[in-house]
Amino acid sequence: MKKLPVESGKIDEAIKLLSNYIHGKEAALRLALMCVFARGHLLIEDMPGLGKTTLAIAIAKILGLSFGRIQFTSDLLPSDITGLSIFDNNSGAFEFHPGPIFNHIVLVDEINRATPKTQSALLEAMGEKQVTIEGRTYDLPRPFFVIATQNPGEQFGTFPLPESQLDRFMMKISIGYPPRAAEREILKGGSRRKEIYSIEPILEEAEVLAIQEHIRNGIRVSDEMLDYFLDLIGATRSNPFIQAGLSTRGALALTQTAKANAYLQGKDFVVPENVKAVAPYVIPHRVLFREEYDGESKKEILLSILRDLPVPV
Amino acid sequence: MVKIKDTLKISTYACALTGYASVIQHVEKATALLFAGLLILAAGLDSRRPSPLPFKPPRWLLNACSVGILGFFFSRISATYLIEPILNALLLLVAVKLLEEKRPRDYMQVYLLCMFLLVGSSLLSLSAVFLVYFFLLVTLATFSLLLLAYFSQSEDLILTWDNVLKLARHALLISGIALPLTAVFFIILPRTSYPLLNFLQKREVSRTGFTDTVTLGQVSEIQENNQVVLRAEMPRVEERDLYWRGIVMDTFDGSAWSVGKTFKWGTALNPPAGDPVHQTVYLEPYGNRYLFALDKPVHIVAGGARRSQDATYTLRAPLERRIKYTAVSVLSPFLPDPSTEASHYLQLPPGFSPRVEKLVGALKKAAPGDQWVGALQRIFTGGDYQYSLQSLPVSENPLEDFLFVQKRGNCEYFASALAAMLRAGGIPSRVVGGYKGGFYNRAGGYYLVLQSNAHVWVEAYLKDGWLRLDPTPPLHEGLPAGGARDSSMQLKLAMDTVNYYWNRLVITYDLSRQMALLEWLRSSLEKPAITSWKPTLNKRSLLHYAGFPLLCLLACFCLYRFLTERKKPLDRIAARFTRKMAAHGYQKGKAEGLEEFVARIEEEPLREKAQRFVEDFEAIYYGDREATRHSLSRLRNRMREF
Repeated sequence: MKKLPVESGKIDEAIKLLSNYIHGKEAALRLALMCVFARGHLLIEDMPGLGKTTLAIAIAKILGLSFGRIQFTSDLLPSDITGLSIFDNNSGAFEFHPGPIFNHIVLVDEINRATPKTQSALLEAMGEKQVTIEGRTYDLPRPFFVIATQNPGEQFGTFPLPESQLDRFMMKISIGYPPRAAEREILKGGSRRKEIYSIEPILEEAEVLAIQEHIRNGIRVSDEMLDYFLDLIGATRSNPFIQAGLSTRGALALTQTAKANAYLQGKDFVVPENVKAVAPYVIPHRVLFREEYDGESKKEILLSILRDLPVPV
Repeated sequence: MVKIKDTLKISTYACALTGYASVIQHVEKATALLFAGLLILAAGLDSRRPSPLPFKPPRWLLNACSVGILGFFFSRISATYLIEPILNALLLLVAVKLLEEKRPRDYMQVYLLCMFLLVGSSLLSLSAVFLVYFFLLVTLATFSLLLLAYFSQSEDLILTWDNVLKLARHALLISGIALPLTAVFFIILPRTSYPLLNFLQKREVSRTGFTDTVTLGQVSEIQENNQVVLRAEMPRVEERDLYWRGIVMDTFDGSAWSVGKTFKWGTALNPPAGDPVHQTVYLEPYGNRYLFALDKPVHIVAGGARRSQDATYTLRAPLERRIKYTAVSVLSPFLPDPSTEASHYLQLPPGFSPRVEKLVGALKKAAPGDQWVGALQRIFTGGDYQYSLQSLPVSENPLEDFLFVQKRGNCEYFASALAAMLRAGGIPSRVVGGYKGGFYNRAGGYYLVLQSNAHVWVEAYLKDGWLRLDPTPPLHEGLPAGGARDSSMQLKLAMDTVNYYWNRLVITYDLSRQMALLEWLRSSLEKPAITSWKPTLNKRSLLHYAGFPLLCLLACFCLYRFLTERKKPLDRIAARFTRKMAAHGYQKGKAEGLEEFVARIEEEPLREKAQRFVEDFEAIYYGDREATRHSLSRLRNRMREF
């Protein structure tokens, strides 16, 4: 077996440590880590006050990465994200002041509150991993990971992300209310947000990059699994409830996240279970359901596809 | 990547070659050579290299050739020479067709002509090889027709190897299904009791074989022939009893023994003491009328066979095609026959060798009564005389030459000398021709006797009966001793089993057999099968009746496995795993991954074992690790644990 870049025990350790701080969000935490390792971005759709920010900070801390936060509002400008050049009287030249996007992990709160112009500036930076300001191109740090949140309810003054933009997020998850026991713990001990800032990182930046590299090149997808992927993609495209099936970028994201899932399980190959585990978070926000089925049943339709799709063996 | 044009050409040439191979023994040598030449020429024209001819033969010229060929061979047709000219003509037509610039319908004509060739060859002789040609030709023609369907759409189509293989597999499947169906039709289609098309068959007469007169030195010709003369279905007996008695020769002219002109009907003799041995003999056509059975034959049942006084059985006419008969023999060297006319068996040519008579006289003086016969035999078996098939004594008086000069010869010399000397000494004697030894085929339960087993021995009339005396030294090279010890003979015997079953089950299948089968089917349907089967159900008969169908089934199975074997061993292991789990009450869903599946097993120990198996299995299957013999057996062992 190929030697893993990071012992798998380390990641388990990290998850275990974090779950002391973020009660009842282990599933979301795992998905978020998968997303980081698969070089994707995460969209969390949830009600306010369920610990989205805590999650983002926790990941940044445990991975030993820098963290930036942008609160999106309707009057936010692209330069508020990317940064801007300001004339420096002393040197007599324009000096570039990088915006909050020049961090490893960027938490974008309420992404659907900003205008489409600002949104697309962010999304472009997410896609290209670089920012161009006044003719100069600045590379974003690596690893680069955006966690965006949005509130699900239709609200005044929001600009919902179109499908094409949603496609840029590798996963869309929701944290959900914590279980009773976990909430009890929270109520008992109060918010532990402050303590999170003092967590000692378990992984380093270089290790995260190595993991990302390993997932991209070191996890095998056999021919049988490729057929399974193609069958699944084909099924979303031919399903009567779905108007537009999974795009090729979506298919790539599915493969990447399945690989990351396999990695987190300590395997160096992908099995159908890995695909099934990530599909509900990777597929629904990328496919266009027929209007009459749009809504809560999205996940159900996807699960029914997975239930009917024969596995290779 | 191959061009469909090339693939089609290759398969068409293969068709033509198969047709050629099936008829090559029936067509004239000139035709066969001409075909081979034209085929090479056609292949040269078809290959992409510069054409060997300065011009392409125009179609009108080739058509004219075809008409000429047909005219020539049709003019040679006669009532007794009917099929061969047609085969000759058909073969050359195939060659001419191949020379043409080929369009789809030309290809079709080639396949059709090849089929006609095969059918024609089956009218002339139908051996087990026919099945091979049949299967080959049907498969090739089907494959070619499949290709042709694509070819007619686009001539420049390029196929991947995968596609070619796929088409080949389909062709195999089609003919693989057709063959068992053919067998069913063969069994159920009504037959006539008299073979209708036999008049078309060439008389199968082999040149070597016993004739009514055996000239000294002639049997060695027979012995050099390795053809099968008979197969006898019977239990195994002692090797020293394996004397297949056929011809009895009573007249000696100094250099040849012959059968007396006057035929005498045999009267029922007292059979010699001993257990009767039943034989079912399949005798190949060998050009004479004598039937062979183990020494001494008591009874032979064959259409039109008659028994003569000297216990030989003859047909009314020389044997021209393979026949089957049953015989009963008692294995005894002595045949009581008090009614023999002794004087008839004392005949010697006038002026027979004085030297021999002198020798006999000396022997008689030395031993009283009939005891000199033993002394006489010891002369031959004592070591002074050697067995040989080469440089046999041939002169005015070959016997004297053999006895006093060369002292080497084959069985005829020994037998002739002994018989003549016995006669000279006043003891009636005769020379018997037949076969000695044979190879027992355990699989088929029959003796295989070859022409090279041909043998001649002596019967002497002593004490009111005929005693078998074999003066030929027993350990001689050249004449197989009857054991099948060397591996080439074993292989030959194994091959012969196929021929045997072919003759037994296909060639001799007629109306009566069909009726018997029908009757058996009816009775076994009416009565409970166990009671109607039980009396006849023994290992041997089962082997006999099930042998050929089993072979067919085996072939079909192999074919099926070949077609589905693409399935990797891992898939088979996985299938076995799900079957095992189903036996434990856990049915795996089609869309259910292995890990999810084993996770829902409730029994702790079973789940752990299953999980271990799945872990190993997935590492190979999904991890693209090489499925070595070791890792596979490990998987199987894991599976054995549940």
